Amino acid sequence: MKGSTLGEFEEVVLLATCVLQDEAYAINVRKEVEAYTKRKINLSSVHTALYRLEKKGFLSSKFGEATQKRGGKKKRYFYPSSYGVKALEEIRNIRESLWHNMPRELLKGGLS
Amino acid sequence: MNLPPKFPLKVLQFFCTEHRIEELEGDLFEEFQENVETKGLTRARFVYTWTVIRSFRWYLFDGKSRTRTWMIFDHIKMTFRAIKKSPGYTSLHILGMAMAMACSLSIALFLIDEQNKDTFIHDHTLVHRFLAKDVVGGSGKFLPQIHPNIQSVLKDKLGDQLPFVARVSSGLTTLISPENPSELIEEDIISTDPDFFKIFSYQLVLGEIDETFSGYKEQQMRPVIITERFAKKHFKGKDPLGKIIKQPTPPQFADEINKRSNWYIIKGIVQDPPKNASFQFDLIQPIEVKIGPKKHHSFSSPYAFHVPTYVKTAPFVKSEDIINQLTPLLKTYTDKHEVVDSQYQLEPLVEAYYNTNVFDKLINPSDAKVINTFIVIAALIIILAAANYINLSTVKAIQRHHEVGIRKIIGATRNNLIGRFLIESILFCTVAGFCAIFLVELTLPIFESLMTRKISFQYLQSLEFWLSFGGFILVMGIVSGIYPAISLARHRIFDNQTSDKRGFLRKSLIILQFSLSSSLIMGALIIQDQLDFITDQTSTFKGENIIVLEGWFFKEDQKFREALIKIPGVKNVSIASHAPGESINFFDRIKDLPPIALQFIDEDFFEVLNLNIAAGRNFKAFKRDGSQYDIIINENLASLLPTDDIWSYDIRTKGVDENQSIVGVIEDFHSESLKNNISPTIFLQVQRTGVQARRILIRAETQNLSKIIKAAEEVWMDIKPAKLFKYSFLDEKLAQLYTTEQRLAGVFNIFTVLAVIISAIGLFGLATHSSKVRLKEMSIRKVLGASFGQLAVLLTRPIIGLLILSFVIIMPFIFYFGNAWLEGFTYQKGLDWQIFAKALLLTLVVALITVASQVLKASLNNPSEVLRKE
Repeated sequence: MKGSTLGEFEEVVLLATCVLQDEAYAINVRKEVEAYTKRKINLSSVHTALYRLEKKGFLSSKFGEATQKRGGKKKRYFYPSSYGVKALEEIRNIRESLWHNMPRELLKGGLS
Repeated sequence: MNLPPKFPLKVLQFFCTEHRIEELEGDLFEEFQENVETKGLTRARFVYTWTVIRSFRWYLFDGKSRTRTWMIFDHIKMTFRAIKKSPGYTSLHILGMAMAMACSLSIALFLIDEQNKDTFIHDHTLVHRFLAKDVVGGSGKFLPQIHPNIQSVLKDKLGDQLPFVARVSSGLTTLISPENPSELIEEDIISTDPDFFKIFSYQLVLGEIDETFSGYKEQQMRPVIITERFAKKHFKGKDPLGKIIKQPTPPQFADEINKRSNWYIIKGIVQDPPKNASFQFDLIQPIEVKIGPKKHHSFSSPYAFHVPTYVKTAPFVKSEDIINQLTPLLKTYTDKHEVVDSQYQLEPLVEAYYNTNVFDKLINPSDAKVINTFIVIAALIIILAAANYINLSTVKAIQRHHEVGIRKIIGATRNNLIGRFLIESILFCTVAGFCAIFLVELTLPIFESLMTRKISFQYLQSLEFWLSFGGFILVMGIVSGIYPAISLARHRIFDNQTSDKRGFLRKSLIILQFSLSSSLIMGALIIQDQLDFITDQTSTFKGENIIVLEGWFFKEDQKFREALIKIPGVKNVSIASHAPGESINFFDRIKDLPPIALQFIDEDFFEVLNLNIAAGRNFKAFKRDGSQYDIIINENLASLLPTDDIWSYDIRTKGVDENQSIVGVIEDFHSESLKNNISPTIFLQVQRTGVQARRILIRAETQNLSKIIKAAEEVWMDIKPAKLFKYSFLDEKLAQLYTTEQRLAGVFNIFTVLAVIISAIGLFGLATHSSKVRLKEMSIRKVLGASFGQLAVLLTRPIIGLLILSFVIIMPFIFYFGNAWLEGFTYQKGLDWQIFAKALLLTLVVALITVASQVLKASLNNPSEVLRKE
């Protein structure tokens, strides 16, 4: 299966980057992921994921402006690459086809 | 705005790769601010630190600068360029460092050598030397002379605790050279028991120990074991076993020559004593040859010859246990006073090395004091040199701010710069290190003669040495380079200043240097002063020399005297038991008085030594009439006697039965070292018991000294051809008493010179910097009308100020230590204010000379040239 080198956390981070569009830098990405997964994430985990995604080619990054809020340091913004979006879609397709064949009984939450 | 905790940030910055650090720092900062608002400062700091810790993952180090490792070569290139730019300066710089390294290297070598003594001895810690308190002579000192029968007592009864016991007596023997029968040789011979080999771990190369020792009977030839080097020297290549070495005898004892019991027969060859052995020897013989047959050793025998005794205990045996058992054990054998009433001691070998109170002719004790002083001073010098180096580096660095600025502009990071300067520093230290080794090779012979010990450790061939030396250079480079490196990299580009605005660090370093140098100068002066005082006191003989001949002159003393006095240039000849400068071990007691030293002299003694009779008369020619003997006492004893009328005082000493009366009083003179008090002394006539005629003192003009000595040698050969002619000068003998002090003086002098040189180098560097910096200022002053003199004064004033300040600081210490050292001398002149004045003057002069060139340069400058750029 192509694109299966995406881990669960990385997938979520990549999705968050897409959602955030032009505002995707480490702090924001973390807030999104925390909001959606309702789990506490450490900043360094987000950094790891972002950099790894970049290395694998799913993201590209650019330096933004420096602000006073960051003690005069510039931010690095991350943007999903077309390859990254494609990978996400593939994963989604795989999941959906499996879900499509799920028996009805299970969906209702019932166990025999 | 709150700042995040500094330390985690610094750690992050140190390790993080450059192209990540900014975004990471920013992210962390932003998160921190938010947390401060939502969760409070403490929580925010905690989260910050925790996140930093968790950030130590691959992406932190994922740098694009793989070129980092190869930058080292660039650094090295740069360093060479920097050196070429100011070769004089750099070489001075390196020289100072090299000297300090040479210093520490020398001490290290000596220390290692100390540790290295006798390493070939198995179970070194179990080897002990016996000492016994002197109850006969009454001096109360612990001497290494032990009754010879104690050895067999120990082996019989305490054999399980003391498996090896050996009497070891060292001496010299005169032999007829085996390969050249017309030549006499003198060799070290050890007379001992078979256990010697087990105690000191010597193996025989040829021959059998037991056969040599047990096979000896009195009328046979003397069995002897020679060393390999003796064999090589005298029996080149031929098998020496069974060969005979003869001793010389004077012609009047012609039948003695053929007496086989005076010959040596070689029964074995032993390994050479290694270079790091604490004693050396060439021959070993059974001890009975020297001290007589076994029947002479019994406790009741009056011929018992006391000798040093060494033992090797069994493991885990305590010395006190043995000592406690010893005296009761001895009491079962004898009740002889000197044996059972003596206090015994078992001294471990390691302590014996430093026991300067005991001389057993085997182990030559080192003076721990001199060694310690050596170490302390050398450590001070290293501190001096390090301070120097730091000062010089900082100063030079300031002059390179241009370079630093440009580097920063083109993008050098702080780490880059620090690394660069550290590498430079390490490189300097490496060069200095090799210079240091060169210096050490040059100066080692001087130190060896100073400490009278040769270094046996071949350091140049030891791998461990090179490894630790490499490490040492690295450490020195980093330690002395780190401050300048950091301060350099830190200061702002457009500024000429460092964080050391008012020059505090620089000034305190200079004060440190001055204090150290001046203390060393003062120390050297104090010691020299005391030494001069001593030699002044003891050498009362000007223009004339007193030659001392040593030997046993018993029957021949008058013959010698008559022959010697005929030699032209000889003023007088005296026969005595001791020459001044030798320690006197003969003591007698009068009730209630301290021990009284005994010396045997003849009627010419006082005249030869130019001493004055204070009261009464000198000895007259000796007549043995059995009723009354004349004695002379010294002023010290006279003052101790319970009566004023000493002439009729019936003087009763414990050791003398005959009637004696005092006929004269001699002025007090130092016959022993000035460190001791003058003991009360009784002078007896040497002819009473001729055995005491052991020294001949010849008073001769200095004019024809060598001729006189040659003539004396001829006289000697005439009367005593069987012994080597040995002479010495009284002045030298007296000087030997103060070897410790002389060595101390030598050490101090060398180190003082070193310290002064290093300080001068440092001062020179600082002066150069100062003059460069103030060049503009000087020019402006000149334009405004200042004279050369005024400028010079202006420039030198701060230095003088620092100098005086450091002097003031160091004076109380010198005072305290100087006095403490002088207390060791019963006779001293005390600390003279002149010493301090001299030291101050000297330091001032040196400082001024060093600074002179730079001051001149600055003061004589041409303002139009300097101010051109403005």
